[in-house]
Amino acid sequence: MQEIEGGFEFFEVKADEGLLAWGNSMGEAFINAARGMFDLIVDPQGLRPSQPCRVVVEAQDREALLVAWLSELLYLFEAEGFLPVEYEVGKLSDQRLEANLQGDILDLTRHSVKGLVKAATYHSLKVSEDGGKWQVQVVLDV
Amino acid sequence: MGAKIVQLDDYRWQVPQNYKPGMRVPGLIYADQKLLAEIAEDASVEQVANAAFLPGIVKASFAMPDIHAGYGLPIGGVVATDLEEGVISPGGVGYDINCGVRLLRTNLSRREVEPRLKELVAALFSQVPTGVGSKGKIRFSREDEKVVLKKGARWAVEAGFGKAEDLQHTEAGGCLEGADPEVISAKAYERGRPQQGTLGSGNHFVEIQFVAEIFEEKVASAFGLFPDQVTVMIHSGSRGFGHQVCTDYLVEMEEAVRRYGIALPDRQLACAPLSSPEGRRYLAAMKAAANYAWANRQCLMYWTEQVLLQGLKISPQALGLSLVYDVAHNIVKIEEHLVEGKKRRLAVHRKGATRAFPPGHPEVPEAYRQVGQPVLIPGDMGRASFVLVGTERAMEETFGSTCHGAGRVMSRHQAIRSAKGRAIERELADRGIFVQASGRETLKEEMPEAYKDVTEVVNVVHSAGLSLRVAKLKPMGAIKG
Repeated sequence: MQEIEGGFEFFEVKADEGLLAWGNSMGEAFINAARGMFDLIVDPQGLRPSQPCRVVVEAQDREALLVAWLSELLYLFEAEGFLPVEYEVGKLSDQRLEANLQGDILDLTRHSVKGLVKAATYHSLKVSEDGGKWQVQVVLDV
Repeated sequence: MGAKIVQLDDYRWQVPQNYKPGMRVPGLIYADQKLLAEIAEDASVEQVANAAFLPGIVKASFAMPDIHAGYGLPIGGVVATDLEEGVISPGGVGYDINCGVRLLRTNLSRREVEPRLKELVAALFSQVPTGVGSKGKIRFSREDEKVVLKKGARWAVEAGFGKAEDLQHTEAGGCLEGADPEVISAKAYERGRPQQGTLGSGNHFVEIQFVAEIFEEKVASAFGLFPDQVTVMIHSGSRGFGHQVCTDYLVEMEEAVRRYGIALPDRQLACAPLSSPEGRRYLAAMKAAANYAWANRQCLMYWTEQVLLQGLKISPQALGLSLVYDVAHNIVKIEEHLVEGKKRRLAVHRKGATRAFPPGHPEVPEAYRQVGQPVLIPGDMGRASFVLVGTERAMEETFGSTCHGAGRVMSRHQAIRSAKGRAIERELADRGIFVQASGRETLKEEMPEAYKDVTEVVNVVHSAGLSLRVAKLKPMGAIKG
């Protein structure tokens, strides 16, 4: 799995959670957005990359692609308990993302649940690039 | 920004149509001076103005005093659109479709329950599936799920969860006709199936309360409430099912906006004409999610009753648990309203707003028709909740709508930071309130100071005449996700 640079942080939105993520590529920024989102849900300690999962999403533009990516991960978490640990983004364009993930399955005896994320919204959505540095912004409904 | 906000009276503030070019109607914010100052601090006013762009919007873009910035429409927003000319917008409903509240009354008084409170809260926590990753107790096939989506709370009653008369005291009888299981995605089914009959997380709760104050004796009596009475409030929605339905349809609406050439200032206001295939499909899907939530609250009520019966070791007759009312506060309803003297059918979107129908309205249950519809306003963990009653004034002004609860003043992260080092559970216990939550940070995120004071919010809707104070309920114990 690829080494991820960059990171994420949260910003103030009253009833929701604002998430800023960045990286040296669009893929890295998207991965850090996912890491940020899951940081709200479960403590990353105690997650084991034991289970593979392939994700393919498509959208009209790269902002919608970010929402589609996070929405797919949320769906996988709720439907299958899948918690990503390691990410590798393969093909990536403004309209399509393919990724291979390694992760864990939610086990309440091993994992410490922090909270719920209902959805990734289109509010204040941004995907931007500045001199090779990519930054994404998304508001999560929590 | 063009014009400024205009004060109309102590509780009404207009966002003029020239505030932002493109507004089809003005905005109208219900607030007092103090709340307005907070409202003006974030993007709420901008969002009230943005909502006024929606095609077919009638009269105004309304904002209740508990308004706070959400995505697209603000939370605490009411938007009515014309059935023929107007649009339907999933962002005007929210992700948690039919997040709502029900209030249960009992025959018991506070001192009868107080000695067993801690055990009751613990029993609720173990009996009611709560929190992220919790699984419901009911086994469903895909076909079962479809029945739930079509029948809502009716399915639950038929399955043995509660009584037929509960449906009479539920908004829309706990079921919106026209739900279509075929317009629901496989993903929504997969998220929904294990979560039916679960409480959820975040600000969802089951709270044991007592009636602390009665403001309108006649109305309270009609609702079956008396001083010091033990009540239970349940706040929950359509869980991952609803969230997925909203997510799915926002994608569809994004395309619809392009197809129908609708100009919007905010992507999250994505919508489609009510008369379009996309619009009709979303409405049918929204109804399915609403029904899911009503079935859910019916089950949660049933398990709550079982916990009380077993915990207090009394008979159902002695407990006397019954449903006062159940309201939705994230929903779009097709309703008939008088607009400039003419009857019109409208799609009334209430996102973090509650229906508040007046005395005499046919949709108000028979037992309450003389006094008006009960309006349930959950507060927060440490402070009060309220029971209000709908009025004719609300019907005239806001399409029969009022606030839904106390809005947040602190983001969840801010609340966690602010609560660092504090043991919220113990602070509440010191005040005699026992709370159990499954999420590690839930108590901090949901602490009382993270919310506006609901008393202030209620004061505005009462003074503005939208819904009148009937009773104040205070928490004794609660479970949260």
